[in-house]
Amino acid sequence: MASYIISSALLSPQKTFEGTFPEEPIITESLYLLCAEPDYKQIIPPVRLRRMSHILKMGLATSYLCINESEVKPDSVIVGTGQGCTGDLENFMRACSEGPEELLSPIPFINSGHNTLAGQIAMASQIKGYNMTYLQEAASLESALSDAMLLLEEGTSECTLVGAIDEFSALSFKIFDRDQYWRKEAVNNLDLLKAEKPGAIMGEGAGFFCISNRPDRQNIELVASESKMNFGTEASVKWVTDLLNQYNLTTNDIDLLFVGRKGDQLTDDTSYAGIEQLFPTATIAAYKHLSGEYPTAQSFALWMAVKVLSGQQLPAYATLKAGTRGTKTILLYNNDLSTENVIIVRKG
Amino acid sequence: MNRVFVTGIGAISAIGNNIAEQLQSLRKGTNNIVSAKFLKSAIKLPVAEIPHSNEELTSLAGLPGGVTYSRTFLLGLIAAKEALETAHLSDRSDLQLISSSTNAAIEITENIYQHPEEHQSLLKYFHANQIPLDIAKELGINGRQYTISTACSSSANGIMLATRLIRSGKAKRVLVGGNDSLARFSINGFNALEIASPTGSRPFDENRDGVSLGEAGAYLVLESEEAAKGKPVYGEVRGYANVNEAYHATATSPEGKGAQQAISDALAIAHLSAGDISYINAHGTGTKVNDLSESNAIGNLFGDQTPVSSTKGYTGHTLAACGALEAVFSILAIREQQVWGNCRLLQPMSETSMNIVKETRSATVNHVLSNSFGFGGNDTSLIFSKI
Amino acid sequence: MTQEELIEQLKNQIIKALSLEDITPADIDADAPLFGEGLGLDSIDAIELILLLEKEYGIKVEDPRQRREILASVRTMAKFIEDNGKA
Repeated sequence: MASYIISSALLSPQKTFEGTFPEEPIITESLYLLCAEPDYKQIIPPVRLRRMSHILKMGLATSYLCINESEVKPDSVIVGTGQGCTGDLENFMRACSEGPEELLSPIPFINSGHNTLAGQIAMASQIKGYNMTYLQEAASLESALSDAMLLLEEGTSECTLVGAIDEFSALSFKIFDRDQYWRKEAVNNLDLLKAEKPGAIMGEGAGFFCISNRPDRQNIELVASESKMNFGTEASVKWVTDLLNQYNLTTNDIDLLFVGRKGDQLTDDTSYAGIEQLFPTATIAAYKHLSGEYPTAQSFALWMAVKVLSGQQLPAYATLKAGTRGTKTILLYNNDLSTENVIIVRKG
Repeated sequence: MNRVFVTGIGAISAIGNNIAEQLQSLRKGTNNIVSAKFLKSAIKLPVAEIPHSNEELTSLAGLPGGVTYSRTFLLGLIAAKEALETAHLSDRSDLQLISSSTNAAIEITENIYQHPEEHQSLLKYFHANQIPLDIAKELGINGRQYTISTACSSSANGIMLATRLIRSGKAKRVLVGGNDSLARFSINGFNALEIASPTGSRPFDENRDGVSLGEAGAYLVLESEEAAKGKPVYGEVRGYANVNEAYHATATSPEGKGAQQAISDALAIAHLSAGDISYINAHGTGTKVNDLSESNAIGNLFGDQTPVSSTKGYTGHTLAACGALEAVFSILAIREQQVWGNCRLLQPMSETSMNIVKETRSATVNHVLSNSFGFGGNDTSLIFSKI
Repeated sequence: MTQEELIEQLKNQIIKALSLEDITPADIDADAPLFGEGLGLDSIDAIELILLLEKEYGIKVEDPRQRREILASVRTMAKFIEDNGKA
């Protein structure tokens, strides 16, 4: 049985919340990119809003938008989050260290539970079926999507809301500064992918998708969502080739390839060049200069892929190499140095 | 649809370092909820702590000393190794891994986040998925890996996912479980929510006054019927369901609507009726609200016949590990033909007609229902059956 | 401090502690129930209000059964503070 993406919504550092590719990207000279946030008061009822942390607001607002766009109301919710509710986790950790421990507000503790968002979405939209949260760094979205595909195949669900979300965290920014993970100097994000220095710029975002067992008129099929542990940095070209075989595809079928290049001089080529060479005639696109790097950033690419398959033109500012043919099948590949993740979508 | 067999089990908790020791404790019923020796917090509440230092756990896990490891990781590795050994799994190339902890290695990160530069070798633990990757690396697991985080129902949901993957043919064998160690973060959270017990948890007792936290690692090996051919089998995963109550961020509805739905859905998947269930291993956290709501759900579906107990009076509430730990206890109930007592129970709650087991005793056990409920309205029920 | 002044101060503290952003002290009726109808607060707010009494006024509420009475309205809270000599 096939799975279809029947609606999508993306909150990101770009003006994507309106649902179309922005004509021009937001250009900044920075070490990180933060979401272009909507006025949450217009979207989330005040009684829910008052105790919500940043990530919960991002996620709940984007879930509403995605559900509103969907022809079918989802019966299940699956959220993938790479690092989880880091903001309030950090706040409650700090409260415990600063004390007095006997006088702590429970709210940041409640909000630090990584499945709080999935629970809030269930409450806000009264979705009482299956409710799951994957907390798995760069593989979180892919686990969530493949679980959704299995739910549809089993007949447990007719339509599942899948979300991918990570929030900017000052603590993560500081901690992962080791090993030249982040840029040391601010960089113009449009120059990022030249990868002239070590490190990426940090980002954040929320991408939601309704996955249904029946197509809507756009007929966008979610073919595969796979991930693999990888303890080296080099791309596993054989793994990707085997996956194509498994789904009865050849390298020639892939018209558009999204790669997770993040502007890191040290790892971009070892992580992506092998995969790019596998598809010599495909258009190659990138997005982390628009989204910043965060564990579930591949959701930004998935949203773009859905837009391309709905007939929107891939913007020049996201194109690394233009191909020669129209786009029917898209492969997304992201390598975060401990897992590799592939999503395949196509026009049905 | 493939049948799903349990071929390996492993666990470490306050009541034992391995399956054999825990079985002994389940039979004896001694109290393990006492003052903490290793946990450092101003909140002095009784807990079910594993009576070993990190150095002792490192050696139990078979790792070289002189290195600081996350306690959560060590508990997971010890249990996972035992599960793989009991399943006689040496070829791990097609083994998949599903694991859970509540907040990754919070017991490490909460102590070093202020001065991370002084703890270079521990910074990896800020990665939310570090522990599962380290377990996979240590055990040579190459298959697909998933990490679930749904608070206290996490590892029950892991078992549900493993079962679905095997049933549908997407996995042949899965190592699945959870690990959580005591942390200042979690004891403060439960205390701030006013659901931590000042006297030590007494699930289903008339005078119960909250949760006592515990710590554990618990893993199971699940295999398809075909992959398990010729092996000793502990039992079968027959039923599973997860629903969301969509009622409150941390509390359950008084009628236990979500719990009832999860139990009914799990029975339907298993093609069983309530009367077929021989024993219920309840979530039973020991809070006023959970135990009443769960007993309402159980009472409505099972009446006053089916024996019910919560093993959290033995082990404390082990959070993300409790679903897998209680799955192990459910499997042991089938293997030993015994139902486990409600350790620390003095006076059964009056507001229920449920058949609460006071002390461990022999019984005919064919099908066991195990409940795990998490914050965020997350309700999961699993059914394990004798082969 | 008169009881009316204490009530005014409490209203401001409650608004801050519970993040009731869109509500002004004038919107809160000192005699209306805080929970259920009225402001529509819940059990987590109750925990926050008990913390408020402890942090701002140094009063510990030991008996959980006392809570319902103390937290009935802003006026009952004010009265409780006065009775404990902390106004």
